[in-house]
Amino acid sequence: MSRQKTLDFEMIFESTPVACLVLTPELTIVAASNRYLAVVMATHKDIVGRALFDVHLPNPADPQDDGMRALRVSLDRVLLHRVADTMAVQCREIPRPDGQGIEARYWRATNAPVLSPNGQVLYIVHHLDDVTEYVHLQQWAREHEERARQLGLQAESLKREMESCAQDVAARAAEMTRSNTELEQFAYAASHDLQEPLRMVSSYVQLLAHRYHGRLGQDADDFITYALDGAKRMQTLIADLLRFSRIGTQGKPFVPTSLDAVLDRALASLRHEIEETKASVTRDALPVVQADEIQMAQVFQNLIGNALKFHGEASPRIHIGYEHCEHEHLVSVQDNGIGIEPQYLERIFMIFQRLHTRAEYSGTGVGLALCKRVVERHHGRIWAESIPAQGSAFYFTIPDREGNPS
Amino acid sequence: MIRDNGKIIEILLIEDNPGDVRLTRECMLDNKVRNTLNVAVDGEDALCYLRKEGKYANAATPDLIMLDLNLPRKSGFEVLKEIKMDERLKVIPVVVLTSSQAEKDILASYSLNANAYVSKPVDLFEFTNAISQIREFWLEIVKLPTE
Repeated sequence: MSRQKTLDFEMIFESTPVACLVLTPELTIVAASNRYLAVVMATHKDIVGRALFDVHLPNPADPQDDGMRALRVSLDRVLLHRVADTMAVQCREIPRPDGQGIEARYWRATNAPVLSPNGQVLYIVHHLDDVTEYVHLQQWAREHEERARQLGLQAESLKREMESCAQDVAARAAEMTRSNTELEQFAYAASHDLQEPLRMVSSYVQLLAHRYHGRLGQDADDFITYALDGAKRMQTLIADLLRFSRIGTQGKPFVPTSLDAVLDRALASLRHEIEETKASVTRDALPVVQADEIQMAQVFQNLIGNALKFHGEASPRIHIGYEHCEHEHLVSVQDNGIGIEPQYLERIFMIFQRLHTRAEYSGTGVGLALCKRVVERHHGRIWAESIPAQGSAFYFTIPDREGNPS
Repeated sequence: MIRDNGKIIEILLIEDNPGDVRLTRECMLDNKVRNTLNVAVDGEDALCYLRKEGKYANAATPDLIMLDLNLPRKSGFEVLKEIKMDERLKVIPVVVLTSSQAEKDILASYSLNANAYVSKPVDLFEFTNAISQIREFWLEIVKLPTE
């Protein structure tokens, strides 16, 4: 072993933290790095100077010694082609750095020729790269690839389900629209066709009353009165039903509508009732919203009309309030009237539902159902809150965006 | 305004509802202007009458037609159309008198050249009032083409 004056390459080579062997073209080991010795768990004496394939370096991870066969093939290739050859990754267990037993690590061996100036192979450098992290990463990637593929499939499946659900929803919405339209048409046709025979009943009972009042006896007069009363009520019911059924079919497209102006209109039409009950009406400033003006007027008229009608001993004090919530206009009509018991707060919005006898308060029970229909056509919500004997508040919302009427 | 030429105004009422016929008849009875109310109960019958076909060979030409839209078989619209397309009949004023308040019916009627559209009021006295006003307007105020 000669030592150089300038650099002790031998020492450098042996200390280099790379697992390396230097072989002659005849495959004798002429040098080995310390790292290599540590990896194969051998000493310098065990292997240096000996023929490579005489040295048995057991590898429990490779019981068939496939590695040795592969090494031979690789070295032959290097000798033949005089270019470096990289082998397939092999597993080999080595002692753990902390001395606590052994661990499996993965190595990629490369055999690189050292050529003379005229291209002859002088040496072959066999070096091992610790590619354990790489292998682990590969394994991890494969596992995760598989997981990702599974997730992908699940996502696909969920997407299909969602699309199917969306289709269901769309179909049902379409069905409901169609059904609603049919119902409206039915209600319209029914009310329309009911008017004719009703007119006959009503007109001729009135004629009877007119022509024979007092001439057929008290019983007849009473009977005629009840019949007339019934006919009149039916007229009102049918008219209300007609109005109700036309909300969708006769609704106009939404345009920017000043709710202040609409409220003015409603209050003007209720002028008589306001004077009669000596009501006081206060109001917040109302915004301009996308709405059907006539239908909005109907809502205000019904809500304020109710507030005027269902008053207690005191004169009605009515306040129309406004609040802008996130993306919504919130309008309220509050009164100090007789109130509504909590168990009826939802029922009152159903058509023809009344909470009082006709002797107590007039009305067909369509007003609130109509309000609900109109508000819902405008994509809003309507509800009531109340404390019996203290008063009620009716709230409705209109979305604050460009809406399209249904 | 009282007409003093003694002519009796001929009215054709095309109406299938006997109740309405009677009501209308009662209302059209008038002392000021004498009139005869002739009734056809469906469209075919009415057109026969107007064209003086078959048993109606000697029928008088009406000075005024009151037409209900809601007729069996031939609809009121079809009758209106045929009247207004007939060279001899189209000058006769036609008052459409019907239960419908539907805007599309109103528009359709005027599009077919109805002279007036009246919705029959549901209340009896409003109804009689309306008929009286029709009577006053068309028989006393308006000049009819057949005079």
